[in-house]
Amino acid sequence: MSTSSFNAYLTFKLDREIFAIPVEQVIEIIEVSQITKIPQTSDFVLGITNLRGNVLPVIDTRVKFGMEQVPQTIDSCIIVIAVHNQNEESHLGILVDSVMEVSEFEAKHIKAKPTIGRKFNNEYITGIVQSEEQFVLLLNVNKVFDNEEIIQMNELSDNEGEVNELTEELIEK
Amino acid sequence: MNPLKNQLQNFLEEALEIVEVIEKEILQLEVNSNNESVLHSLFRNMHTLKGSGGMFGFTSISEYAHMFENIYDSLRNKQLELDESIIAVSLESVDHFRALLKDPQLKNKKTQTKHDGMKSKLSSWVELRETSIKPTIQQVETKPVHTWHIHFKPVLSQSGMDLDPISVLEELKSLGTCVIVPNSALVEPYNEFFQYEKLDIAWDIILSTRATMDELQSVFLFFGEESLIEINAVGDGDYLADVYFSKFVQSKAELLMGVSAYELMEMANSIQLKKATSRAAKTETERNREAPAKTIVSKSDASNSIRVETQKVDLLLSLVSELVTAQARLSLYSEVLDNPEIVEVAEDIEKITRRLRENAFSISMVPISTMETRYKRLIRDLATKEEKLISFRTEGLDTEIDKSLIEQISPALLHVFRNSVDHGIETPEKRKEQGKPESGEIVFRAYYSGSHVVMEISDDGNGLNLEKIKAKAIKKGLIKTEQKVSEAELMDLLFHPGFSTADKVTDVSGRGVGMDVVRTTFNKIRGEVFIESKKGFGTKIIMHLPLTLSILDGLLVSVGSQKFIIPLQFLDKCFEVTNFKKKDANDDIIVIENEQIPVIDLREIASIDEERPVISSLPIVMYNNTKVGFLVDKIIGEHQAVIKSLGKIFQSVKAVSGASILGDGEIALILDVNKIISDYTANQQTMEV
Repeated sequence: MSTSSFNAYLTFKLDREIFAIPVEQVIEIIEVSQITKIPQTSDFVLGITNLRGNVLPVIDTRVKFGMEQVPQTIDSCIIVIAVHNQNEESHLGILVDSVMEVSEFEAKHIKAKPTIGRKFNNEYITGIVQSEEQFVLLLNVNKVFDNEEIIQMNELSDNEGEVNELTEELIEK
Repeated sequence: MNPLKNQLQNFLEEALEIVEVIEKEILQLEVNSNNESVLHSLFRNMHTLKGSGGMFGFTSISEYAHMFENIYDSLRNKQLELDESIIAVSLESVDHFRALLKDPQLKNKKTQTKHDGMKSKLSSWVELRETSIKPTIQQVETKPVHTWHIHFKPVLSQSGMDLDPISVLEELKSLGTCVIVPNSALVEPYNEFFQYEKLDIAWDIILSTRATMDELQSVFLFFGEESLIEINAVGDGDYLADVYFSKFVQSKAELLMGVSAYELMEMANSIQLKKATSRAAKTETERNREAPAKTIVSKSDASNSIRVETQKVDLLLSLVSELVTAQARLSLYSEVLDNPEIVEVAEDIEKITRRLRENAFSISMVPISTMETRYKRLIRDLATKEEKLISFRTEGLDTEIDKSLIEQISPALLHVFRNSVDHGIETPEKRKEQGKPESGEIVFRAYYSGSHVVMEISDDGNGLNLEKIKAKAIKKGLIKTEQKVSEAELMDLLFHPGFSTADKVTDVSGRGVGMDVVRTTFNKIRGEVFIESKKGFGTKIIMHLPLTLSILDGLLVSVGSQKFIIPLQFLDKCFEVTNFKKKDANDDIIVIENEQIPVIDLREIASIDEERPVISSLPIVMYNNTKVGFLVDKIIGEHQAVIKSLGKIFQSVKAVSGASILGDGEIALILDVNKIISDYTANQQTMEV
C-alpha cells in the first residue's frame, strides 16, 4: 500500500460512466488492431491480438460489465493491464470506449464503495471519487479480471444460453 | 521471491541432484565394488548433503546423512566390505532422502515413522558392523593430532548468503580442542561510507584435531569463492594442551583482534625449543621453519556450466520466437520493396536469427542420459524382486531433447521398462528351457531422425502373445470372434484403454492402465508410439518425439478471414468439396474413395458467419485410427509455426491448443486435432445411446 496520500489512476470511459484503474497496473495503451476470435469462449472475451509478436487476450469491458455492445469508434482503444492472481502476473487487454487521463486522487477524497444500489458487483470496486460533477469508480482490476472467473465463464460458454443468465447474475451480485 | 526462499529452492534442487548422483554411484558400486574413486566421490557427496542440510536447519537430513556417511567412511577405510546388504540399505536410504527433501520437517506422520525406522535400521546396522570391526577402529583413532590455524572470513552479503558460519564453527569445535578467536581487526572505522552489509567478520580458529587437511577443507565446502579460508598447520601434536600456548591463545581471544598463523608458529616453535629435550623435536621445528606450512585458499570448483532459472530461459526463447516473427515480416517487406540493400540486410538478419534460434533452443536441451539412473534403478529393483536376471544396456543416450519433454515422458518410459521386466523377460529357469541365456537384456536406444528423436526400448523376452491378446480383446468386446484382424491391429489393441494381458496383477503392472497412458503421453507432445514384437524373441517399443515443443510443422488453412493451423503429423490427404451441404445435424458423413469419413465443419466450431465459398477444401486428419475431414475454405500451404500459448484464461478451450503469429502479423490458431476428434467421437457415442 502506498504511503503517499495521492494515488495516480488512469481514467477511461464506458458509455457515460467513468472508471479508474491504478497506474501501477497499466502497462500501455494500444490501438485496436485485428482481434482473432477464439472458439468456445464467453461472449465478453473478444479474442487475442498480436502485441509485438506476443499473444494478448482482449476482453470487451462493456460486455463484461453488462453494457450494450457498440461498434468501435476512433476513440476506442485497448488498455494493457497487469492482473495479479495467485502470485501470478498475467497481461490482459481491455477494450474501452475512450481513455481520458491520468488523475491523482487524494486518499481522503476516495469514498468507501457503496453497499447497495449499484448495478456492478461490489467486489469489483475499491472506492468512489467525485470529480467535476461526476463519480469515478475505482476498479479492483484483479477482481474484475480474475483469471479463474474468466476460465469458468469460458467453460460455461460451451453450454450456451445459460451463460447470459449467469453473467447477469454475476454482475448483479 | 525473497532471498531465503530462493536459497532454499536452490538447496532443494541441488540436494535432489546430489541424491541422484549418489544413487548412480551406488549402482556403479554394485557392479564394481572396487572402484575407489566412486566410493570417495559418494562419500563427498554425502558429506555435501549433510552440510547443506544442516546449513538450512534440516536436522533430519543432516542427521541421516551423517549415519549414512559413517557406513561409507568405514567402507572407505576398508573396515567394511561392500556387500549386497549395504547396496540395498543404501538404495533404500536414497529413497528416504528423497522423501526427506519433500518433507524435511517431518510434518507428515508417515515420513516421521519412516525416518525413525530407517534411522534405527542404519544405526543397528552400523553398531553391528562396529562391534565386529573394533580392532581396525582402534587403529584409526591413533591418527596423529595436529594443531591447525584456520583463518575464516565468510562473505555474508554475497548473493543474499544465508549460510550460517556458526554451524561451521560448531562443526570445527566438534573435531577436537578448539579456540575461536574473533578477528575484528578488519572492521573499518565508522564513517559515512560505512556499510553494514560489507561488515567484515573474521575468525581465527586454533584447532587441535586428528582431522586431516582434506577433512578440514570439506567443512568449509559451502563457503567457496568469495569467502577467505586459509588453513595452516601450526605443528604436530596438541599445542592447545600446552599451558603457555593456550594462555597465549586465550589472551589473543580476549583482544578480539585475531591471531595470525605466523604468530602461532613462532609460539609453537619456541615451545618446541623450550621443550627441546630430544633431537627429533628440534629437527622437526627446523623443518617447519624452512618450509612454511602449505597455505590453501579454498575455491569452489571451476565449472563449465551455470545454473539458470528456467524462467530466464523461457524468456529468452520467447524473445527469440518474437525475433523470428519480426524477421519473417522484414523478409516479406524487403521482397515487396525490392531494394537490393534492404534485401541484403534482411538476408543477413535471417541467417543470424536462424543461428540464434538454434542456439537458444539448444540451451534447454538435456541429454537423455540424465534419466538413466532412474531407469537403471527401476530395472534393478524389479529384477531383484521378481528374481530375474537382467542386464541393462544403453545406446546413444547423449541424444538431447527438450528438458520439459524429458520430464513429461519420464513416467511413460518407466512404464514401458516396467512392462519389459514384468511381462517381457522370463525367469532364468524358463529362459534356460528355451535355450536362451539365463540373463535377459533390456536395451534402451536413442537417436535423431530428421526433426524427431527416436527412442527404442527392447527386451529379449518372450514377446507378445497375439492369441492371448486376441482372446482377451474378444472377451472385452473390442473385436468380434469372426473378425479378421492383422497382427499390427492386434498389437495396436494394447494401446486401448483398459487392456492388459497379464494373467496376474502384480503391483508393478497389469492394472489395465498402461500402454494407453504411454500413447496419450506421447500424443500430448506430438509424438507417436509403435510396437514391434516377435513371439519368443522379444518386444520393442518405438517412440518418436519432436525435438522441441515450441515449433510445429503445420498446414495453414483459412475459414472466412480466420486462419488455422493443422499439425502436419495428423494430416492424411486433402480433397476438394463442391457445394457442401449438411444433410441433417446427425449426418455429416462424406464418402471419399469408398471410405466413409465424418466431416467436422470448422466454420461451426469457430462460429464464423462469413459465407461459405462454392468450393471448399477438406484436409483429412487421422488420429487413433479415426479419420476425420476438416471442412475449410482454402488451403494456404505449409507453415512452420512458432507456438504461442494462448494464456491461462483460455485453458478450458478445447478446439485450439495455441496460436502462431504469421509473417504479416496476423494470428493463426493451432487446432488441437486430438481433442476435436475425441470430442467428436464422444459426442457420436452419446448420440448413439
